[in-house]
Amino acid sequence: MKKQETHIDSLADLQKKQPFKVPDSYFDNFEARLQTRLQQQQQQSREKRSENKVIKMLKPVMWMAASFLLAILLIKIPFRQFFPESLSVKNTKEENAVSIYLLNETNFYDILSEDSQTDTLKTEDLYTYLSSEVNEYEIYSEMYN
Amino acid sequence: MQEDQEIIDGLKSKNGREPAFRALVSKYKERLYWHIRKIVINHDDADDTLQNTFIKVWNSIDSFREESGLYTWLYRIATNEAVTCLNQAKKRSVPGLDDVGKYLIGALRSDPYFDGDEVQLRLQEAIATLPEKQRLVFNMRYFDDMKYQDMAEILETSVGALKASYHHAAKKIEECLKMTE
Repeated sequence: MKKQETHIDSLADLQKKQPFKVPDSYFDNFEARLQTRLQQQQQQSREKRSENKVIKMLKPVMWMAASFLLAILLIKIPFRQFFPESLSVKNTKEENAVSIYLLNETNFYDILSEDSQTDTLKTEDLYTYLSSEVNEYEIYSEMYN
Repeated sequence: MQEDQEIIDGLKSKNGREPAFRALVSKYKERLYWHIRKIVINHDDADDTLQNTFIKVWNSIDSFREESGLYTWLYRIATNEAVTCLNQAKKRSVPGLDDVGKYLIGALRSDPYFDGDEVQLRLQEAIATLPEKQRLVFNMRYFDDMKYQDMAEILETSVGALKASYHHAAKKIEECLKMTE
């Protein structure tokens, strides 16, 4: 830097000179460097656009799956808490309905024969039932009329 | 060198955009560089800012309104980029430093690409102590002889306010130069 002693009264006393300089060939190389940077930027935005495309395609599918799951949870959890029995009864009925649906001739007769062996109505039980439902007069009139 | 209107027409067309952009860069790179350099002082910052300016120009071509001229539009982008760069550089150099003037004086004294004499250094240091608006106006008027009307479009301030800014800036600088003798 050159040293100079100057008395300055106003800006008019000064030379309007640019005190800065640039590296050699700076302006000659500038456009090439700018072009490289622009190409890099375009490459980055192309990559970003294709990434966004995939996400855009998957987004509605993910939303639907999440909504469906949420709906199931919102219905099932409180329902189970407030009506636990109806769920099990319903399940039993559903099971019976399914098993009846699966009946054929062979296993139908098997079921009948199983029932006759295990669920026999005893005579004593029958008399007890009849005496509780009808009086002696009604029994006599039925027997002799 | 192409006229501005030819460049604008090229930029607006599909096929002519790239050659028009190259013509624009070729025509304005030096002018914009020196405008930016006076704001940020440091050469590397000026280089980055100049590239950012042209990249922004390329990305904003479709939003260019021909009401303002090409020249003022470019200078406006360059000025905004330079001020942003300066604020970021100031934060990076000394965290918590609020005084831009101190940062600029430090940058001047350590700049390997400063080619002026002692008087010019004193002048630059005096300019560095000005508030941002006055600094911009002073540089554009004193060194570039820019018309107040053009400055008004670039800085989006009235001509009257700019003239007042310049007058205050020039007075402060003269006082500063007398004090530092």
